Amino acid sequence: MLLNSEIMKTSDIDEQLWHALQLGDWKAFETIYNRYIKLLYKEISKRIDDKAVVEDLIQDIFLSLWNKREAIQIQGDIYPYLYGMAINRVLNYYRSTRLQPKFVELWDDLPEHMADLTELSLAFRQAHTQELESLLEVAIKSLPNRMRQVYKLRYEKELSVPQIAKQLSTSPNTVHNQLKTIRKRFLKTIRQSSYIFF
Amino acid sequence: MKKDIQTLLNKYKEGKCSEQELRLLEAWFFKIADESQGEEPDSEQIRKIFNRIAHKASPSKPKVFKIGKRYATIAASILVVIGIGFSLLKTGHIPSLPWSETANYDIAAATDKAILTLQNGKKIALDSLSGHTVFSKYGVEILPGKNGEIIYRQLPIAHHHPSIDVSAYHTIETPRGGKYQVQLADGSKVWLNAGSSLTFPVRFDATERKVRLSGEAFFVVNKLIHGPDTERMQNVSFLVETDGQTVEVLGTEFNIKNYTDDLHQYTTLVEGSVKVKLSSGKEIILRPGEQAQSGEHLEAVHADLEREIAWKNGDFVFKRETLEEICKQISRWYNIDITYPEDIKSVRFSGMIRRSQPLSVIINMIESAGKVKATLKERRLTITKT
Repeated sequence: MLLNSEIMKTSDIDEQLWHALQLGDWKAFETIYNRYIKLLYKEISKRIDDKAVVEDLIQDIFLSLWNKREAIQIQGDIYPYLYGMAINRVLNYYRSTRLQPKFVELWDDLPEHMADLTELSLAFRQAHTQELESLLEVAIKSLPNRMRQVYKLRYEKELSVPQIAKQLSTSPNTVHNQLKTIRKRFLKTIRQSSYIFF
Repeated sequence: MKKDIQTLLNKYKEGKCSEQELRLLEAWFFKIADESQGEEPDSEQIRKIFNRIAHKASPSKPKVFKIGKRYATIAASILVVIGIGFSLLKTGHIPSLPWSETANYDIAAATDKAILTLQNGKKIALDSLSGHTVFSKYGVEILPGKNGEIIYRQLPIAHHHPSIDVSAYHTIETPRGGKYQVQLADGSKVWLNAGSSLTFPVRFDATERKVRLSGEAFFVVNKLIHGPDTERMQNVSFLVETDGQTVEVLGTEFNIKNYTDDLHQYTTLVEGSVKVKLSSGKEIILRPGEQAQSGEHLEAVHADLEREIAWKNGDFVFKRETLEEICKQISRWYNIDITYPEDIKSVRFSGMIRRSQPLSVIINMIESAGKVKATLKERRLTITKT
């Protein structure tokens, strides 16, 4: 028998929490942590035996979430994003340390056509997207100063090409060419991922 | 041949995995968890970890390099087309998409749909099959396979059995928006693309295997050394007849494209050896990796296998493809009509995307190149210049 109170969906609560977090609300951050720590810990510990490592990864995930809170965009449920971060960190851990023989065996025994039967899960897509986004971040950081300026003015400040040209005292044509080069560089960074359109 | 796990993990880190590799990685990642229960942290651990985080977290503005308040339009447009589809991406910064805003619905990709026409003219809709044997006559059983295909299984029959009509033919036809796979009685497999039709003998006898195709199909043909119900040893040719052309193979993998709205027929050889014969008498033997283009003339060119076979692997692969060609493929696969002005039909696009994606995702890819705009109304897509 329902009372008059509204029943809030998880995704609505998460959305409010996330919004608050983006504004720098530490309490919201703590709430998110408490909400998902057990789930996350369980998932990671299923894949990594070393408790210290599991704790490290959890720490890293939430710290990252806090530090990058303004740049990350999440709508609705927060957990898939966290899980995506966990997947990336676990895979990276596997990559950089010696894989347990039983895991290697599991891989070798995996039938190749198994992949044909399923679509990529949301969590994995999230993970992959995040991985690509971080590669892009690196690509942006490595842009030469001038180009990075153009990039910021165009994509952060959202100025038009003529406005950028004026601000940098250069010609619109030059700005156009720089944008083209930037685009090419980005594509070079993630070119070999299967899904590129240019 | 799948790579070793270490290589794949490195590729993943560099963003260089193909979707197939991603799915394998994912399958492995989830399988690892099957073996283990995992642990739950106790309240002390939970508090301890949080304290460490609090200690390290900077209370004020993060000193992290920001890509921007909203992820850059370039990044977004590049990532949007990573076959994910915005509904899953769940980020609020996708550049404005007039197409998706006006359409209240989306159009799903082609599904396993076909009509099977029997010898007596009776038609069966293949998408309504359940898990039983469809049909049993002519000494052949037709069973649904594991991957949504149907399998013709030839049963040994006594010689001269009076009720067996050994020359019976069936036809499988896919509509636009349909695709189907069939395994013929000799074990050969055929993948039919949308808007195609294959007529084939229900039983294969010892002397010849001949089928008729219109549209596009990918064949994996088994070598047949002797007919199933004789004891003679001989190589039995497999012939594919299309309009004005016959392709003859012994055992091989190849693709034939023969749509009526195309200028030529394209026969692409993956493995083995085929002979392409035109009704005019011209003929040519293909080697793996070659494609025969036939129309008025017949010539063999080097084929881009990745592009030609992409459809069978479930992908659209466009490599500097004209808008005209892209639209042909899309309209068949999604069963829609597309109109565009003549002067942009040769504008070129490149990209790769899973065919299982709904129409909206592929349209956004095309639009994100900034050269055209598309509007969907019911089943008609109108493309205009930007």
